[in-house]
Amino acid sequence: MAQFPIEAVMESDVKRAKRNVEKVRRAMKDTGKTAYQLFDELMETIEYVRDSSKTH
Amino acid sequence: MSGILPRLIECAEKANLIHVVIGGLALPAYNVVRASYDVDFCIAVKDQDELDNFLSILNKNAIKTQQRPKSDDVVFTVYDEELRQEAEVWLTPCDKFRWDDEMISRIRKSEKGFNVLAPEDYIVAKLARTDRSAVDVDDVMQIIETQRDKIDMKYLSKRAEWAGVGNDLTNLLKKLG
Repeated sequence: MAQFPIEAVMESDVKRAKRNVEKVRRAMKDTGKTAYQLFDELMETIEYVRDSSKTH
Repeated sequence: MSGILPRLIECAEKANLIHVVIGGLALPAYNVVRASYDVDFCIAVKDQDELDNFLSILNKNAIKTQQRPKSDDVVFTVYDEELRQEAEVWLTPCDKFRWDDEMISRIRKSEKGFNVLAPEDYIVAKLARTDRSAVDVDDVMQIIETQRDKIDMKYLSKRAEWAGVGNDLTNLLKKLG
């Protein structure tokens, strides 16, 4: 099995990773929620969208 | 906490095993959030007897495996017949290396109440895995960013060298700036 090479990480990948970190950091600060609470909300939203798409 | 995970933890506790949650469910413990449905549970067994005892406890709790795991295996799959949910039970945090005492001593509790690896060990486990994906590398970059002030860099470098991913770590740190 091949490993994804670190050399293949682009500047845009680094920027995206940093942006995601900043989004979570800001959401935690603004809402007072923990990362686990944000994770639970994300998963609930995904499930809601998935269930909704089944009925439409 | 619901689903198969608390039931696996309960079984591991009954079997007196060291256990941690790995994979996507552990990420929020390092303040990283990404969607993940996979349940990756990792236990440390000393020998086959300990593993067999754990398998027997799982079985009594309607959590079955169709495999015949050996203590030196890397991972096996279990299925919760009551919840109809699957999980992977790992016997080592990474397919490239086994548990050691220092790794175990650095285990910490997440706010959810379950155990996770120290961020340094989680990072190295992700970097060293044989089938490392772009998502693994993205997870690592985000953990390094969120844990920058907390990471024990000396330990991280030592652990990365030990696992054969010292250069990968150095290159990634350079890219992160």
